[in-house]
Amino acid sequence: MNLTVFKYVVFLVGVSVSYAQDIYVETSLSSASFDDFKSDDGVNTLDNKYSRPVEFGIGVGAILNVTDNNRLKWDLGLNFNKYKINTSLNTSIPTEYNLNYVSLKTGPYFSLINHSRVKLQLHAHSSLDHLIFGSNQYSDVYDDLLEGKNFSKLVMNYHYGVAVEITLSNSSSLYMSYDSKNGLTNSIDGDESYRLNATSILMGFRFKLNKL
Amino acid sequence: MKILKQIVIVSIFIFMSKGLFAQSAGINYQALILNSEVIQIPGADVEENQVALGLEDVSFRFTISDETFQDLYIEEQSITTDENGMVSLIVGSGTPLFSTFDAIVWNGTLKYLNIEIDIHSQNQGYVFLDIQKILYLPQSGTGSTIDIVNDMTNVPMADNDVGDIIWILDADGLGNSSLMVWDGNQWRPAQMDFDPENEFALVVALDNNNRDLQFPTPNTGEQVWNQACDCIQVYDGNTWTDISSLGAISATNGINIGANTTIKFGGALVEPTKLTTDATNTLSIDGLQETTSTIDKNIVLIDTNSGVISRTPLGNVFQEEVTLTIAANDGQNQFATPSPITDDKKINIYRNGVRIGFTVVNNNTMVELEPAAVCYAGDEIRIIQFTN
Repeated sequence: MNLTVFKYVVFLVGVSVSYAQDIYVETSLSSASFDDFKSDDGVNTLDNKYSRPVEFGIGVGAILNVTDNNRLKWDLGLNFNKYKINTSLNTSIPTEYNLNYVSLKTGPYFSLINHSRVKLQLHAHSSLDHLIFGSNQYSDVYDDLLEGKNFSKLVMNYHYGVAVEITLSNSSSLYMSYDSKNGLTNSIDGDESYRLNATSILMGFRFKLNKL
Repeated sequence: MKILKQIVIVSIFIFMSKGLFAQSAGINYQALILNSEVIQIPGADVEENQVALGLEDVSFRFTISDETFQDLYIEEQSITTDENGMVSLIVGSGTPLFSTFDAIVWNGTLKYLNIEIDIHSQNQGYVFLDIQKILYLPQSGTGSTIDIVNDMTNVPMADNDVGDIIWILDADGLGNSSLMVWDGNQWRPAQMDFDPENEFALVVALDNNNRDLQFPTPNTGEQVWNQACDCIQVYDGNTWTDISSLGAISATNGINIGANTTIKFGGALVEPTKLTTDATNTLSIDGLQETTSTIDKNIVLIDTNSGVISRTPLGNVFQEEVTLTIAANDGQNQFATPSPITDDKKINIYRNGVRIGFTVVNNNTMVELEPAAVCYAGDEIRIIQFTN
């Protein structure tokens, strides 16, 4: 992450927290896969029939009320996600990807049910993922994905999902969220491209700043 | 990016067998096939020869040729590589394209196995894969046959296992066959005994009785050293025979075998026999003794046409002069000769010292003087006659 991006992130977080009504901490269980891989020949040579391991992640963020009735909120969060992807080459050789991302996400929450005790929310986010660790292993080959140019280190994604928030007290609430994360198509070299998608279950606590 | 797809054999294991469980001969062929095509994946691409070519439909064409690369056998067969890229085939069990595997003569001479591969997904047809020497000989899987070579120059000297056996038609350069065993370093005659205990030596028998005790029911071909006859006896199925009598040399037609099996010149001819000489290869006899007496002596004659040698008394060769002097009667003109006249040129008639003519009469026993030569009483008639 270059300095400009870092400064921009710090600015957003600072502004958001300054105006935030809620902050939250969350954990996640995520599974990911490479979808729509295409080689130069336009052939998908990956096999996604293998199991999808679930990996742990954490995140923090701030939520701003956009409307007075609190139905629409805006989320800005920072997450750490681990993904393990099992796939295979076209020669039936299993290969395993281990990816660690730091992600900055932002997007709205809209409450379909906005009861004081329970809220049902739809959410949509966009995120910018930065790869901080990546490896690929097959046979006796180990490939560091941080090296070379054939793997995108910075990925744009869009998310959508649904969340249920249960009020625990005047100052805190518990929420669970389903999140479907879809990476934008990454063109690597020539016509080769892929998308990294992930499905996550998140659970966290939200705290009202003005009640703390 | 179009990358040539190649196949790399990183391990090949071949051995010959007559089929431990199968009925036909073949060569087990195993190979690990790597996909040297660059495989694109997210991240660094898989480089050539890093992974096996798994679950791929391939066809192999095997060609066995002799040391001059003359094709002996060609076959094709198809298989799918396993997940680890391994293929295991038996060369000899495919679809023959030329000749048959059984027709290959495994005589120990160098042969080559040429391998071509066709990766169906590649659509390039057969491409050359590998060629290698075959130094192996078919091993007997059922015990029914063993490998046979002509002589020691044809035995395989590499890739042998201790205990391998082979039958050599001419093991000693004299045409004698032998079973050879590979001892780890060289081929050893199986029948040679290097054990000081000599347990493979002939059984020794004191005499025939002792022999019969040791071999109450002998098998054909069993042998024994019989000390009584100082000979090796072999059982021919009916009786014990001195092997020295088997195939013994006999002499005839002027040749004889004397004591200690010494071959000597001499004896009766049993057929017309001819010696041929020429200007260079003459026939001579040295050391002939001289004799002065001609009594009872013959000389050797040689027939001009046949060359047959015969003999004749000396009298048949040299003429004997016989002289008869007669006192003639008056008017006598016939006289008896000393011997019967065989040739009128071998007789001369003289009257009083003068040779006169005559004719032969009276059954070649008398001569009659010419008409003008009438004798008077007291004339001396001399008859000189050569006997031959």
